[in-house]
Amino acid sequence: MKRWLPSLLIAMAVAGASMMTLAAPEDDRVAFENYFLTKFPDTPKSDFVNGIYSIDPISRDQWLDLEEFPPYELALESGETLFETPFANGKTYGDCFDNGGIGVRQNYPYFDTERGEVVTLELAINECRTANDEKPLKWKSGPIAAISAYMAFTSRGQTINVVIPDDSRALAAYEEGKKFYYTKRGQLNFSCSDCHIGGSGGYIRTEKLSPSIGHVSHFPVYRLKWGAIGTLHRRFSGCNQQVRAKAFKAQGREYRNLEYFLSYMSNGLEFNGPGVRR
Amino acid sequence: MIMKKLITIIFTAAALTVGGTVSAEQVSVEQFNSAIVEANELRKKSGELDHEWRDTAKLLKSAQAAASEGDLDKAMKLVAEAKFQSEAAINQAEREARLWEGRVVR
Repeated sequence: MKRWLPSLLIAMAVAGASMMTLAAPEDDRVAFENYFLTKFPDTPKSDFVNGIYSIDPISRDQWLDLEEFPPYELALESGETLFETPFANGKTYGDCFDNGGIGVRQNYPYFDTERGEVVTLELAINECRTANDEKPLKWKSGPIAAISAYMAFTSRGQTINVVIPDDSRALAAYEEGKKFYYTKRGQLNFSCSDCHIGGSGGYIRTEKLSPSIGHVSHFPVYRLKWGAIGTLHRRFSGCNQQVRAKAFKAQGREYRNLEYFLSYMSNGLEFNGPGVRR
Repeated sequence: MIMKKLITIIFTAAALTVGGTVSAEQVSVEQFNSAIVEANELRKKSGELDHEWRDTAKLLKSAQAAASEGDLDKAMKLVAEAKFQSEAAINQAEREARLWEGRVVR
């Protein structure tokens, strides 16, 4: 009894520490969600998928008017056409995805344990192309945003459910995304969290800052500022440049891990993309 | 006596100012080349730390253009600004490595 008791205690401690480590992302998410529910008590949790419109009644009215004839409709149509148009070898995007690519937005981003990295929807779209001997598309706007928008549209109402598998590399990817989110960078010395946690609901110049929870749900978005539809990584890039930091490459490791973390923070909310934003 | 000291101080200050101006005018191409290499190394280091600032590379590009046009004073000022940015970015990276976790919502 006495001989194996220390070994048993050590094993229990190791198992306990391991469970604590794996529990951390869920602790983060619950704290993240509670922060916004407390800060914006008039906003139902499910409404945070509408971003700034969930906390700003005036811009919400304008947005609802826009949604009557949404400016992303043309992109949706071209996205559907591109999605269905066969590659030179006769195959289509649908051949690369589960369920023919319809209603699968909620499967992304995920951590691929074979590759050891986060896979986003846009990455999967371009990998589908290269697997079929087609040139990859540019990452931030144009056809890839249109295809992604169409795929998101077919997935409206599906629940964000990012899983962090029991793989230390997956947890490391999550932690790297989390670190990125909370780290100040650029000449203006801002972190993502400065604007979208502490600053959410406040103003930068004339713009009201949106809450982070639900941020990923409505991408790709048609931004009036862009006059076009663009991807989430285009927005990440723009945010970094606005604080005068050098932007990272779209679909590079940094932004994919950031997307992984941010999506996990919105687990339980619904996908409602594509959206329209100022 | 006081007047003499005052005059001495004024002349000394004037001499130093003139000396400084002369030395700034005498920036050599070699000095510029050395300064821009150093500033670019710092920029690369800030990038390796994932903290390069948006405009640093542009400043160095502008410095190179100014030097090519023979305006070494302007070029050196731009290099100095780029160097300052990179040093600040490196400091930011080192500082943030310690501080970011304190911002996590708990």
